[in-house]
Amino acid sequence: MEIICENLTKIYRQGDREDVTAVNDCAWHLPTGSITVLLGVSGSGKSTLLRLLGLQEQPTSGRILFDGEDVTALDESARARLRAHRIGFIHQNYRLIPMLSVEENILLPRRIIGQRCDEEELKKLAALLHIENKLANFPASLSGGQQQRVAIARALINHPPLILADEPTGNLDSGTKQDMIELFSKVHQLYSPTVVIVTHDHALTAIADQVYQMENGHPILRTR
Amino acid sequence: MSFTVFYAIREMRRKPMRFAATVLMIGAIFFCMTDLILLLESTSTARALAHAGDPTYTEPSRFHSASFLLLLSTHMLLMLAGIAILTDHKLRHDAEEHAVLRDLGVTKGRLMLLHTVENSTAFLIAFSLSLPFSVWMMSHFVLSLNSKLQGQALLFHIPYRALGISSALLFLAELLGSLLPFVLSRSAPIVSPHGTWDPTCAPLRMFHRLCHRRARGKRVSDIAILFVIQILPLIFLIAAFSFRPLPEPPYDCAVHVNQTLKQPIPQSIPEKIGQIEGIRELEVFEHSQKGYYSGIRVKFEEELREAGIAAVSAITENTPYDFIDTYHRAQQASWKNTAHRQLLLLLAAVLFGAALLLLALILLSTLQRHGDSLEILYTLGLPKREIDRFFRRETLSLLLCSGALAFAIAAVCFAAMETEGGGTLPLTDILAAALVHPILQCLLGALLSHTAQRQFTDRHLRHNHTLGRE
Repeated sequence: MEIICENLTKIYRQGDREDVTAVNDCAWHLPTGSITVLLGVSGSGKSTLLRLLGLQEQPTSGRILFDGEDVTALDESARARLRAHRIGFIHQNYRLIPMLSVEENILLPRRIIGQRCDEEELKKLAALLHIENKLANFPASLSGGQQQRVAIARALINHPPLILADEPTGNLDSGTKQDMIELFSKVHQLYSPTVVIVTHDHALTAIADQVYQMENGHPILRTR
Repeated sequence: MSFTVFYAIREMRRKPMRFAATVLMIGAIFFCMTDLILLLESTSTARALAHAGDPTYTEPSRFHSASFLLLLSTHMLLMLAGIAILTDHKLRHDAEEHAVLRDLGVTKGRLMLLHTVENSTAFLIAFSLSLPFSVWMMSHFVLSLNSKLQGQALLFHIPYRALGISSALLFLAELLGSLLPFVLSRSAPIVSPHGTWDPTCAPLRMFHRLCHRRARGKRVSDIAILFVIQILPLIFLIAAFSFRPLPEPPYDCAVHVNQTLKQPIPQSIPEKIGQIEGIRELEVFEHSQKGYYSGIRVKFEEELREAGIAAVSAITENTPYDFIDTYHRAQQASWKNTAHRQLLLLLAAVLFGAALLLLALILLSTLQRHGDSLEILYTLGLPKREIDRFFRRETLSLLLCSGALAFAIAAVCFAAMETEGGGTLPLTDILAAALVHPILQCLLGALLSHTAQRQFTDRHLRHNHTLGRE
């Protein structure tokens, strides 16, 4: 999926206090099937930009185009449908539902769009992520790396053309981190989604097609 | 299976205690209010018995109707407030999980539906559980009303109109109650990116902020829930105490002028009654202005009482005068009174046990909310002993806040109770009676929560330690 941001701005109004401009007149182009890594210091607006791309927040001004369609003009329900069908999220703290088993967590996006998942497909995905023997477990009994794998499986189950990852290696040790980077690369080769990774971790730039640095609310292209 | 049903069932299955707690809380509110109505009925019974056969007695029907309506309105308000607090509490707890669902593309409408299914299911179960009790109470009223219409008794003074209005109000309250989670969910179906929810509708925002206002570090909603838990068995106990043994009626039976026919009693009736064997006292009332007999009261020797009452009944048969068998009615009322008292004591005991479980559950949930800060404190090197002490203090202060409120309410209730002589209870008795329950509850609650908290901290710290090693 090709993504284009045009004059994208997000300002947080804070009542009596000074407004905060998290994303400022941003123009950005993400080609179909690319992996983009967005680096930046805390508070630079990279997570806000990711939430705007994930349609979790509406911009103050500007447009976001998914394959040429202006998604900022859509209403809440249409944006939710788009999130369910075309976007996969991976969070730093995994955000798995504790009361659902691993299998139920992975299949949750399928249930949301009202589709069933065949056993073979689930097993294939679980085997790819090395969690095939953890499907009956609950998240609390898994390690951080295993929980992140479940989160990746959940993001991939609907084959979304866009994957958004917010600090996906932030909570992992160096060994698990390297595994996760290789996994990202493998998943990308298999499913070819457009991937945006927001991170502090420079190691992730190894698999990126393009690397941006967020500065003053703008993503600036960086040469590696 | 649709996503909403799947998710709601999973939630109930994985968190059965919380679901049971919701059901129990709502059910208890129903029971508690029905109980108050029974209390009113008992007062009415006692008054009517005390005046049975007294032709000068006028029915306080307006007073009773007003009280009845007032009780039902209170029922409605308390139930709505209770459900609102529970829903608000639940939304706050579920905010983070619902934020994940939102990210995964669950629409606003489906999130609202999810809230409605979860909360309305709890409401419906609670309502079904308390329904037999409510139906029994209502049928009791209707039967009493029928017997009144047949000129058999004057025990209840609830006119049809009041009964109709009350039933309509009750129905409306229950309907509103089941819609409330929907309204609350609609006000904030989309949680913030940080996993909290903030209602968009101004009055609900005020309510939410009030619930979440921190009074000396405690959430108002926590105190409110603990308070409700403490007060429920107390109300049942007070109601049970109010079913005191009824005084023995001064007469065994009476004859008086029918209020509809208003035909004076001729001299032949008291003369015939006077010839019955075993009469101990015979009192004949004469109308002060018109000079005719308006009522007769009779008391028999104990061994001839049954035969005497039957003889008076035979004399008044097929006459336009009302015959009242006070003796048997008093016996029946006394039996009912004892049954009510035992039923209420049993319910109070069950609620007391349930309240203790709920108390431990709510305190545990409060501790779980503090799980992260606990971990930070532990990481910063605070000894586990100090952490335990910190949470014990937190728990006790919460319990004391709600205990003090429960004590205040109990004291007011006991102060309002009449003694057998018609006066009020002595102040020392009121304070002692009101103190016993909250103190006992606080002590047992503290003990339970302390055990729960120790287990929680042990498990929490061990779990994080294990994860850290991995």
